[in-house]
Amino acid sequence: MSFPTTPRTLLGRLKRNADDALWQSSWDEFFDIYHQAVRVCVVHSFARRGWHTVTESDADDVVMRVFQSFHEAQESFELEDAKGRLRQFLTTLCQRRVVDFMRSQRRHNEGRVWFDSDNHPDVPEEASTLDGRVDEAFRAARSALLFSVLREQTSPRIFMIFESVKLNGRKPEDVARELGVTRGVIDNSIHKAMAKLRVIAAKLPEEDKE
Amino acid sequence: MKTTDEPIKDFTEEEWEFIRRDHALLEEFQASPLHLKAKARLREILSGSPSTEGSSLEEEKKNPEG
Repeated sequence: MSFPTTPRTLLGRLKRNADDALWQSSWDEFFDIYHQAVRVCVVHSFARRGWHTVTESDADDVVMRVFQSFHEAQESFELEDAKGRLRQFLTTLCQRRVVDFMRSQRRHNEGRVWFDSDNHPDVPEEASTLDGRVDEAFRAARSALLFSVLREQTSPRIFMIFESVKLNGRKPEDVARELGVTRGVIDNSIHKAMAKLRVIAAKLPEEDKE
Repeated sequence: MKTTDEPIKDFTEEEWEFIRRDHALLEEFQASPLHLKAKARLREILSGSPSTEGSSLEEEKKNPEG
């Protein structure tokens, strides 16, 4: 098999089709997974260009532009066939929309002092720290994407057991007691979920790997 | 591109700790008013509702070149 079907499924569903409800829920899911990463990336992009204080409203505007750009891009070409990494693509959109925003502000307010001295931090965050935050946010998004696919491909009970033990850190014996099943059922469910997770992770496109 | 089903390295317990932390932080973010508000706004934008009126995004839509 040469095509990674699972994680791409979500991306494929982002293109508008006859099923409006599925399209909307896919966008909701995509936004749930990538909003934080895009937001961190946008703030990081501002900071790299010297804007260390960005209002929440401005950041929100640029984040919306990034998702709107992504929406327009995936409507006009097959994102699933895109050569670039998804993270790289989103990062590029963040950088472009930030630059667009800064240019528009410059045009509207020539000679504006970019920093609000009252709010400007004494010690701006180091670029390396910001890079780390972007990495963390995209790593979390990648995990969320993996778990989203796992949720689709396993039974609700197996996923619930997996989520309780592996993601929420609950003790297997407690989960077994709560569900009224043996410890073996819990272990077996986790084993199945982990096996599936390994397959999904192996098929995750290289461009989405860290 | 890695497309085979070859086994991959299992996550270590330390890695699971990172995953749990990331998962918890992301869930917290997803439940935040900031995220929920933005999600509603994106829905409106995608459905063509004029929710961006008055914002700089609306300006760009009116004047994409400018």
